[in-house]
Amino acid sequence: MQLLPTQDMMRKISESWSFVSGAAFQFKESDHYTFHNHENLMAVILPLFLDNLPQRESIAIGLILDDDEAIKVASHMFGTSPETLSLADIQDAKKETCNILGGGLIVDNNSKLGLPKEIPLEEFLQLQKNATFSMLFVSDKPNEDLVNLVIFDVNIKSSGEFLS
Amino acid sequence: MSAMTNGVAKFLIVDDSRAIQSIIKRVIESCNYPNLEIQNANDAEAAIEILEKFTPDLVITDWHMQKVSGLEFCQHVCQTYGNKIPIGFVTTESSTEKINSAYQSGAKFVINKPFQDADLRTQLMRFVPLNGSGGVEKIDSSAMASTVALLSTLLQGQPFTFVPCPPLALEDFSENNLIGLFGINGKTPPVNALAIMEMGAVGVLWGMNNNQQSMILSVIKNGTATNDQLEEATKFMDEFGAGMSIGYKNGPLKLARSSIVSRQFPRLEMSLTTNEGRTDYMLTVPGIGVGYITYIKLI
Repeated sequence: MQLLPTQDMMRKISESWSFVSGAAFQFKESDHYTFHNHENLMAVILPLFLDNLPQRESIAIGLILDDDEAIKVASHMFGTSPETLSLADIQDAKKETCNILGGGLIVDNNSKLGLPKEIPLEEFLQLQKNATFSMLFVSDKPNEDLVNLVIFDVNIKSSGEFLS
Repeated sequence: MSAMTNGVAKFLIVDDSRAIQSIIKRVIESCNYPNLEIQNANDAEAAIEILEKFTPDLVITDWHMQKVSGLEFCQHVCQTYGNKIPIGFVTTESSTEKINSAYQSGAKFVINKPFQDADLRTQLMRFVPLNGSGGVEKIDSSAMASTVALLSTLLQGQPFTFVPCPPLALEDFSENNLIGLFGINGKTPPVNALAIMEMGAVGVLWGMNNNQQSMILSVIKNGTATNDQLEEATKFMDEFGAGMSIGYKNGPLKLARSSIVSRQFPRLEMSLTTNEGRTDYMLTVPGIGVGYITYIKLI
């Protein structure tokens, strides 16, 4: 597996964010998440499978968007006002955002991108707990744009549902 | 190239994300087709059913979808309908091997997300031109073949597309651009034609030919090129200009001189609007980059 150099990753994430949200800002690497936590906050996770014989390895790309950011993105992508968006529209936009932001970060001809899905934040953090590496990118204006994109490896034994 | 049926431009968008369907739909609508019919499918199975009753001028599909993948769908469309229904991808898939397999399966283009609206519009105009017969000036096929052969060598076997695109506006050019002036036997004045390569094209050509893909972005980002990079782009420009002027009365023309010119240079703007014919081309190396080259006939 080959990760892009960090600077290239940050640039790609910024370009992708601009595409999905219409807003341009820079991302930076960070060691802590930026979101307003609440009971129903969901994360989107995108699996990336690597055929690294004899054992199949898996990478996860996670996106945690604060609710306001999720609405902004959905509104931009659907080209409609926030009031007209359904919950399904917002979920769709969040999953596609994770797909676009995360899809271009790993260069590997033997990899296979999975489909993004939404899972409760708690479940997401549990999955990430056993990672041996993790890279988190957040907006360089963390108090205004609460966007978190994280890449980590997934422990095979503890990730039955994720890998299914 | 597809001809519109009864003057109606017909598209089928296949994507499991309704958000992406909306984005693609807006780009199609921005082309101002006088009559337009767009159908959406959330997966390949639904798209296959739609195609039994609906013949679009172009299918635009995602790659990663539930059950049947975009690649399998592309194979189905190409095997079932041949060239009658062209199909292209808008996808996050950027693996060179997989993109190659898409082209081998019959895909006409692969656009990576995130994309510029102009990139998708170019492909729409290529396959479903506004006037039904081509949206750009008629291009000599031998001139085009000569340029494509030259690019094949320079890009070292990497899949690419080189297609006419809608004319670039002045603001679409990079801050600095490589300009070549062409004359009979390489002598000017008078300047018979000129070619403009914006920095994306300079970067893509040099980076691919020298196996330095990582440097392409720095050329584009910095908006300047090194002497080596310019030298290589100039060599391409010489052959490109000669190829493009194959059908000229006094052709083929030869490159007289080249230089870096700012987008603000007044004569550049004048040449873009006052000329005897102009064609803009988009060079795309999937997963690597996009560049634009403009050829302008002055005399």
